[in-house]
Amino acid sequence: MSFSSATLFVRIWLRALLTLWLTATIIFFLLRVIPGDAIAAQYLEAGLSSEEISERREQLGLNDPLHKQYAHYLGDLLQFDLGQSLYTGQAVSQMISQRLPNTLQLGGLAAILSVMLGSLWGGLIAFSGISLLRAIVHILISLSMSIPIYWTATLVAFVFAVQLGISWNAAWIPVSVLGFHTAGAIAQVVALNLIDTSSALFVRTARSKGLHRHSVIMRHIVRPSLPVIVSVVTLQAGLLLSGTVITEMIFLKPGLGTLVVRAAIDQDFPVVQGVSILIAAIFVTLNTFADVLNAFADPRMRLH
Amino acid sequence: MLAILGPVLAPYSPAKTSPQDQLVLPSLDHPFGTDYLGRDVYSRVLHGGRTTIVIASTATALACIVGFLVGSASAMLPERFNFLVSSWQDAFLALPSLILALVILTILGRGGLALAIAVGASQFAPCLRVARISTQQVLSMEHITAARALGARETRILFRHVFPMLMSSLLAYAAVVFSHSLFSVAGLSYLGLGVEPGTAEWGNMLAEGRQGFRLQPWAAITPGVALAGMIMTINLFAAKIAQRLQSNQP
Repeated sequence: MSFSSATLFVRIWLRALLTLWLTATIIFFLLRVIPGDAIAAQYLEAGLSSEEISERREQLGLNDPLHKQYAHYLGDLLQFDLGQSLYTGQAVSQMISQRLPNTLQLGGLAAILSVMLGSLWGGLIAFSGISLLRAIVHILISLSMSIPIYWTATLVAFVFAVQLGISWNAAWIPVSVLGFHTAGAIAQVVALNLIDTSSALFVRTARSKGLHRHSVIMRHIVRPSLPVIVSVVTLQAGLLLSGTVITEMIFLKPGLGTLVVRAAIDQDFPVVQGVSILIAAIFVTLNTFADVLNAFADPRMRLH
Repeated sequence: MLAILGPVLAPYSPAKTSPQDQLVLPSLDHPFGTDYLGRDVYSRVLHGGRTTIVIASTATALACIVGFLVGSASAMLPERFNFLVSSWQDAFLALPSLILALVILTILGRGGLALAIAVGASQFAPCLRVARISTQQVLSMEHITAARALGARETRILFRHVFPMLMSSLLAYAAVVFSHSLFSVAGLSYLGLGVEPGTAEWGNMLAEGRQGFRLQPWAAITPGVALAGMIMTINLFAAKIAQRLQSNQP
C-alpha cells in the first residue's frame, strides 16, 4: 500500500465517522422535538402519578437545556450506552443485543440469496441468447420490485399454513420472501452494468483478438464490472434492512424490526433512537467497505 | 382511475358492518366477499384506494417540492459549501427511508397527515440528491455561462434557465417517488403505524384481512392486488419516461 492509498483509506473511514455523527445528530434533534407532554401522556396511561412522572423526566435528563442533553447523548453513544426503555427500564443496548443475532441471520441469508438470484437474473438478461428466457426474467424482476413484500408474505403464510399444512414461520420462508424481493433491484443494476461494459472498447479488442466468448465474458466484462456492482448492491442494503423490519413483523420473528416497530407505536423514543442509530451504522459500514473495495480492486485505480 | 371514482361506484358504505354477513365468500351481492366485521371488500378497496393515494400524493408533493428546491439551490452555492451539503446529504441517506419514517412517526403519532409528513420526509434526501446532481450537470452547459456573462442573478438562472431544462427528468423521478410513497404508506399502515385502525386504506385492510384469512382470503388478497397493480403501472410509466428522455438526448 503506497502512501497515497493509505491516506485514501483513512479519508474514507473518517468520512464514514462524520456521516454517522451527523446521522446521530439528526435522530437526536428529530426525537427531541417530542413535546414533553406526549411522554407524560404515555406515562399517565401506564398509571404513574404526576410526582413519579416528573421524577422520571428528571432521570431522563429531559429538563436539562438542549445543548447539555446533546453533549450527554454523544458521550453516552461513544460508550455504547443507548439509554433505557421508557417502559421496562431495560437497557436499550441489552434489548438490541438479544435480538440482533436473529436479524443478522435473516438479513444475511436473504442478502446472500438476493445477490445470487440477482446476479443470475442480471447475467441472463445481459448474455442469454434465448429471448423467451429473457422475457421471463424481466417479468420476475418487475414482480420482485412492484409487489409489496407485505402482501407476498401474507399470501405465502396463507398458502403454507392452510393449503400445505407446513409451519408458516419456518426460518427459510421469510428468507426466501425477502431474498426474492431484494433480488429484482440487484438484477437491474447487474444487467445494466454488464451491458454497459460489454460495449467498452477493450471488450471489442478482446473479441477481435479471437478470444473465446466465455473468457471475454468472465475476464473482460464481469471482472471490471464487479466493484461497481458491489457498491450499488450495498446501496440496496437500505432496501434489505427495511424489508427485514417488515418481514420480521409479518412472520412474528423477534428481531430488531419487531423491536423498533413496537417501540415506535408506544412512542418509546430511546429504543427507536438506539435501533435506528445501529441500522444507520450497519448501512454506513457496508457502504464504506464497498468504497474501500472499489478504491483498491479496480486495476485502473491501482495505477495511481 | 377506478380508485378516484371509487366512492361513486361502491355499492355499500365502506364502514357499514353487518354481523350476519361476516366473512362471506365472493358472491353476486359482494363481488369479493366481506371481511371479519361483515364489511363489503369491493367497496372498501374502492374507497381505500383514495385514502392511500391521497396520503401518498401529499407525501410525494412534500418530498419533491422541498427536495428539488433545496437540491437545485444547493448545487448553485459556491464550491466551498460542497462538502457541507454532501455530508448532510449522506447523513440523511444513511437512514433507510422506512426507518426515518418510523422515527418521525414516533414523534407525530397516528393519522393520515402524520403518515404523509413522515413518508414525505423520508423521501426528501433522495429527491435532494437527484436534483443536485442534475442541476450540476445543467450548470456546466454553455447557455448558463452565457447568462452569467450577461449578469443574470442566481435566482433568475435557477428559475429561468435551470428548472425548465430539468422539468422532464424531475417529473420522471417524481413518479418513482410516488411509487415508493405508495409502498411506504400502505406498508406503515400495515405495520400499525399509519392510519387509525378500521380506516379503509389498502395497507390497513391487508392487515385486517388477516383476521379470518382461512375462511375468506379475498379480504386480504384484493387490496394487495390493487396496490401491486397500481405500483406496477407507475413503475412502468416512470420507466417509459426515462426511456424517452434517454432517446431524446444526443
